[in-house]
Amino acid sequence: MASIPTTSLETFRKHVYSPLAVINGLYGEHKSDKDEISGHDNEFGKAVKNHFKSVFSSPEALERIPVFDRSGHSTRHKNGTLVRFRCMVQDPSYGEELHLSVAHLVNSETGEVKQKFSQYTDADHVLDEGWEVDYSSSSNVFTEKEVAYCVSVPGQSEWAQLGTAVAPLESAFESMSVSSEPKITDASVDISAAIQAKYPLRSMKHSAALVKFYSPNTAPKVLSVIDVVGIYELGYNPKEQNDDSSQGTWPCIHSIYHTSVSLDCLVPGLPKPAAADYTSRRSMCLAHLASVLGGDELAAQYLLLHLLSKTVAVQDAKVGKFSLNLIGFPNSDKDQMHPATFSLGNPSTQWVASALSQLVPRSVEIPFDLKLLNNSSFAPNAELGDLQAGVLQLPFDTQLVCDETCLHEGTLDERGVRNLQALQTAILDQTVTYTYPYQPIDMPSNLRVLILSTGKSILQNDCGLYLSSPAIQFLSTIKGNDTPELKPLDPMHTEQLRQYLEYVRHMEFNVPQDVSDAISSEYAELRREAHKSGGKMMTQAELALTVTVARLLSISKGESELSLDSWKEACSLERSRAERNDKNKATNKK
Amino acid sequence: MSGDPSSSPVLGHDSDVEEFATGIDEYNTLPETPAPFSPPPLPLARARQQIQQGGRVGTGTGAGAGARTSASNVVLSSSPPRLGFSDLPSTPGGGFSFGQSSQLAAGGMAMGYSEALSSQLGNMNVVGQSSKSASGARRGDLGSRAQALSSELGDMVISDRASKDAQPAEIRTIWGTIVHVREVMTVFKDFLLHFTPAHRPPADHNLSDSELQEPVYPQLIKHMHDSEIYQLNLDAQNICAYPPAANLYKQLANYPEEVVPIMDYVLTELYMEQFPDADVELAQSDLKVRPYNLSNSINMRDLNPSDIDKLVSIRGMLIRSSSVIPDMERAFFRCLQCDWTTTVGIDRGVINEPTQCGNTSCLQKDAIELVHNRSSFADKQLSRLQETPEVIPDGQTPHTLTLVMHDELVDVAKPGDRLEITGIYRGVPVRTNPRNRTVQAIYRTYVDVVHIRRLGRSRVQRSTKEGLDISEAVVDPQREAAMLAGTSDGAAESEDSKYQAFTSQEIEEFKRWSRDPRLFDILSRSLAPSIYEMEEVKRGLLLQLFGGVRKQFLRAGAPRSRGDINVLLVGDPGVSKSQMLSAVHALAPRGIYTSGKGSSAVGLTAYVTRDPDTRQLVLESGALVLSDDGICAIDEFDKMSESTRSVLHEVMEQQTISIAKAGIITSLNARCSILAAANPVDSKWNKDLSIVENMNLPPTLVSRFDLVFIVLDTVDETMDRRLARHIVGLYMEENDASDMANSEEDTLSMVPTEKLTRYIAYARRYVRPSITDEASDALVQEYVNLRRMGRDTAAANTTTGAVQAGGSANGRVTATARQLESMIRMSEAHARMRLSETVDHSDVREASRLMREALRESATDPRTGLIDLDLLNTGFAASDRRQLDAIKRETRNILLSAVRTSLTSAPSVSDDATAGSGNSPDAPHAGNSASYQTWMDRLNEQSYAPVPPRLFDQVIRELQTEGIINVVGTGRNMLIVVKQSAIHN
Repeated sequence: MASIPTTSLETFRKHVYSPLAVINGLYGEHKSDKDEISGHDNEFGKAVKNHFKSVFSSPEALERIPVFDRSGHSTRHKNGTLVRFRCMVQDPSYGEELHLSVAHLVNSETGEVKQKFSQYTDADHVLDEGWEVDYSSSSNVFTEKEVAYCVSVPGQSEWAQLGTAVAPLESAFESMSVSSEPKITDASVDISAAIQAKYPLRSMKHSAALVKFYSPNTAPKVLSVIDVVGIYELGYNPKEQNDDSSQGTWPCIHSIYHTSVSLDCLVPGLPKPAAADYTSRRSMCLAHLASVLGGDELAAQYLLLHLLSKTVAVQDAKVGKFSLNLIGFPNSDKDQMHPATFSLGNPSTQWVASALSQLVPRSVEIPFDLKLLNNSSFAPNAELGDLQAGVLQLPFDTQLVCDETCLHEGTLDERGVRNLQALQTAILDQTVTYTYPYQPIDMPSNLRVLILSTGKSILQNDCGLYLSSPAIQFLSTIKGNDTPELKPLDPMHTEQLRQYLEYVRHMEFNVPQDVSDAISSEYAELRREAHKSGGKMMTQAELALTVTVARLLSISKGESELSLDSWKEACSLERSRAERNDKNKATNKK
Repeated sequence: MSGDPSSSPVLGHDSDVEEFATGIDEYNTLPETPAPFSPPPLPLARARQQIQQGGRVGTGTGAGAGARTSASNVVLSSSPPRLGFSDLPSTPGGGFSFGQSSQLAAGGMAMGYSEALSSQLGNMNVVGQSSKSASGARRGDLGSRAQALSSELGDMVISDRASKDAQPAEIRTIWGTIVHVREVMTVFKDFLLHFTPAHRPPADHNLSDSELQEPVYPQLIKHMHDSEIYQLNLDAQNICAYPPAANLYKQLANYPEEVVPIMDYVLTELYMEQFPDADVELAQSDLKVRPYNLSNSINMRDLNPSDIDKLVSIRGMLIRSSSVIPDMERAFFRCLQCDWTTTVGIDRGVINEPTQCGNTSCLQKDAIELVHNRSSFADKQLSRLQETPEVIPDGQTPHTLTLVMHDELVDVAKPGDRLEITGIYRGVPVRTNPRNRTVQAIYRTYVDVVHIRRLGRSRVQRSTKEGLDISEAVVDPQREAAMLAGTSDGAAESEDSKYQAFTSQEIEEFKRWSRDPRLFDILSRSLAPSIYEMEEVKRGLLLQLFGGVRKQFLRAGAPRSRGDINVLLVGDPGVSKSQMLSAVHALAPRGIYTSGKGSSAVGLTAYVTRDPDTRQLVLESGALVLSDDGICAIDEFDKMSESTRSVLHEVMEQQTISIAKAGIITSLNARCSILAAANPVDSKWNKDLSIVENMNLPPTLVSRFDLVFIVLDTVDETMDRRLARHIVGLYMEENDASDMANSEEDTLSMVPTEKLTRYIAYARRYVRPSITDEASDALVQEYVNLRRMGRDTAAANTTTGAVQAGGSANGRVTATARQLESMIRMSEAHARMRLSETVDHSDVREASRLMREALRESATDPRTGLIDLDLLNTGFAASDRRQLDAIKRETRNILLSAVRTSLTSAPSVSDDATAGSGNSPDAPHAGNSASYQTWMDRLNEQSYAPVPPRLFDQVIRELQTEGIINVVGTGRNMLIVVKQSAIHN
């Protein structure tokens, strides 16, 4: 921190602790005509955004902005200060607000005229004696802003969270300035049921705020994950007010700018991997996953493919989905009841889940606990006016780890059935139905579902795989206390793996014509053979699955085109999977 | 409090009143003189400038808008007198004792004023009344301005009459707008009196010239008088179409608050002229103009600050309505001391209780009490409108908008209705701060509704008689509601409530489609394009989506007949049955997708639970009830428990569900089509069992399905290859995939899913085909054919000399009266798909073809009654039997003669014959075998019309069963070998 010159520190402090003054200063400089503010492009907003962006251009500078955090009961933030918030847009339909951005003031006594600028705040401005707003003036400017309810990203892995390290020096400043002001008490923003209902993983700690976007055209969609830099304020909640006169205050963030969270924000400072690196990283990843799964190489292969999967909508079908069911986990003890929360109780499944959360930015754990299934709601519901989150209202590319080992005999009530059905739809169709009054709306989702179970899963999935017996042995040794030490990956490698997974997942992919022809004739051939010999014919679904495997296999090697070799490899992978499954089925029957 | 948008102020404010008083004074005591603009105070100067420039700056409107509509203190106390005529001197009036009027709120003023008038101007009684009627006409939806304005209008008329001849060429423009009061009045009056259908002739009308020249509105006014519904629904497009009123539309859209009261007033005036002896009390209360059908309707997402205070028209679905809120609009106060009374109007949502008695001889403080039963209240309702799915951008959640309805519009629309709202977009400051000197930053928006149109009432049907349309336009919304309810046929109503609105372009497009001869192909191809082939199944499902016509027989005792088509898919696993189901589910107007495995009977129908909060019994609907008027897709139909399936019996024929549980006995409508998918009994189709045995479903249930498709996983190399390419193609980049789709077969265009949904909705909604005589003959004929089919095949068999095993009765689905009904339904659905109002012969033909296709009648091996797997690929229909026989005869002749010649003559001929099969190792003898293609080419050489490959296939197969030929190999490599034994016969 010593490297940062003091003048710059001063600038930071000004921008962080009195951003409104900075903005008003900018307005003064601009003396912009009203088109710049009210116009569709929101020129002034852009200028403000660029100014703040340039001040906080480096990651180090960004870290000087306090991270918005209201998961605790105490208020760390002061009205009118700058905060950062990494969040998911939970409900973007809080509607638009009109905002009197520039008010034309007239002094009734002297006839003087002046303008009052107010943006990025909802507070009323008290006028001096004698001044009044001239509402008929044409120089008043109304702008609109879009309000969205945002929550901290559900299932966010620890490593993907915003760096909370505010330099000790600045926290000292902060505490000083807070102490000099009367402390704002806000009992109303307690972690109440209403707030809980808007977070997908109920009863989990999280932060939530109304984020107000000043250029509605660029306001993000539901489920998008964004980093907001904006001004914190305890404001009013438009929905709350509809119901009664109680004007509860809510934490609001007036967004100065927002960026979507990409991998670069998550693992900064790593160079983009070269094409040659992919193979080495792949083997590193496979080795790591194999060690997690007790040395089962085939399962590691499939797990890697699963981690790389991404659903794409083609025509009216979704291709590329690859939900995986790993079979052979030890059952959790029935009497070992754990509270109905979204964390896994079984040490062996927990072991896999935590290993995955090291690798992916977002992963959510769903134990199939009857109590949890019966009491939570998986699909979002807006029938009461406010969009209540469901467990499946998760950002794209979220890893879901379902633990079926803790499912025991009992009654699944209607809600539980609905929940499982919603999960099933999410797996098969990659859509989540949001219940709006009179019109349920199917929203596309993109979730990777990994089901860990003892036997074949009750949910239909794309691909099931029995673990090898050494792996089963290994997993059953994992007990609550004496968890075997994972061969430690050094942080550098972990970051490389994260990067590898993320880059490869978004790779373009294509099937060349000749390979496609080869596949088709092979398919036809296989079927003919099977028909002749009276064996089991390959079905369309199996073909589609094999093509998916081939695709994932190719991109895992960093290849953007399907080669015949990869296709063959995919076929042999599928064969060994089928063999293993058949063997297991046979042994189970005995 | 006043953050609540509903409490919009109803009355004007003091300064208006003052101005107003002087107006009266002036007009009544002085002869009127042409008055140009007098130099107005500062803000007026700008306004005037703008008026001279002919317009206002948009944002100015926005700003002023906030002020005018808002209930804020700041606004009202700081703004200059906004109403009133710019040519009035601003000195207080002299002659009248209106001193106290400035203390009175405007409402009281209006009353006081007219009372004063009648006393002071005894000779102007009528005028006084009419002015009173105008001022009495309060429009909650228009806010403060309306009130003041209407008073003003009254005033103006008085002045007009007072200065009869000296009609001044004054310019009276409402301050801050381009609305020129007199001009608007004359233009609108002219419009009402002279607008005829000729100005806007309906597209395809059959009105006579005289009818065209008949002014529309005087009739409507008469209608108002007769029906005692004092509302005029004004089609804004009519204004546009009336040349002299060209400007009026713009004024109406931009300054509704000013223009609508003027219109109200003009309407009242006309009404009074037409019916001078009308009940004045009635007439004065509510003569309202309700404009609708603006040129463009805005998506609620696109409303922005510049729309504030303009007339906007928005479509959406009403999702919630508050209960009716009595809104006190005028409070009546009485002094406890001296019984002095006064009325106070609502002002910014607050009624200010007078602190001091107004009686100069009393002046008692704090002695005023409210008299409830002399105060007046208005109805008000808050509602929320939500975007409909069509307009929500991809991946977005729907927006909502607050609506405020007043008086007659209260409770007109029910939650769940799709509406087009015409109203004024408003903004109110969010926090009402009692302190004046603040800048209020946030404004909340809502819409004051002036007109509600329920979308999807059959506008198309009506447009065929447009003249009627116009006359119906006067109907009060409540009456509309009553009419709607009046069509008490449950079916019609429920369809009405879930109409979709179609734009004229869309309808145009649909009509164009419907004329395309390839329509059926295009549509069926667009259904689930990712599923390969299965064209016939897709066609069947398409017909199911369109559905037949639901009929209610008028004869007593006859039940209603369902129009819904039920479809059952049976087949091997892995042939995308489930995808097909979900594709249909996605397209269906309403529906539930459920799996038979998991559903219990109660889950499918309805069940009673106890609400956990209230401990009351609640009837919860299950899948079937929820898919009323839609499609219920049931996967894994065979896995369903017996008891659950039995529920379906009632649903599928009676279309109701009876429930008797926990004291609740009811019968619910479940008029849904059922689309079920089942696996064969051994999960794989068993060749050796008959259809019914394979399905393992009770015949009573199976016969309730109109169409039963058997989808089998067969081996055909070419097909497999194409299918594999199709699946791999999904992974290719988009361009390749679409190229492939195009090149694959003929370039039939595909219809995007949304369009298809709309098309289906449109057809379901508007097309009710009826059966022509020709079609009914055809239906009878087809039915007879169907019944006879068993015999027919048997006959065909005898001609070919095959063994007649009599097995056709065993396990065959024979035609019953149900099949006739099915055929009718499907013909209707097909006609509906063509958007044709009549069922023609072609529809019947297609329907029966599809039905046979589905039944696979011809695919059943006649000797055994078993299904022949290879036959399934060709889908052979028995109607081709005669043609087939001829071909068969010829083929046999060719085959035999070819072989005979090869046997008797030189080997050179046999070389020729085996040319096509030379590379086949299986070729048994040189002369008696040739490839499939060779034989077919030979047959074609001597035939005058090309032989369809399908029929040839069948012939070959039959010859094979007759033991004349042997077939070696499959597909293109098929070799046909004539048996030696046959030659010797």
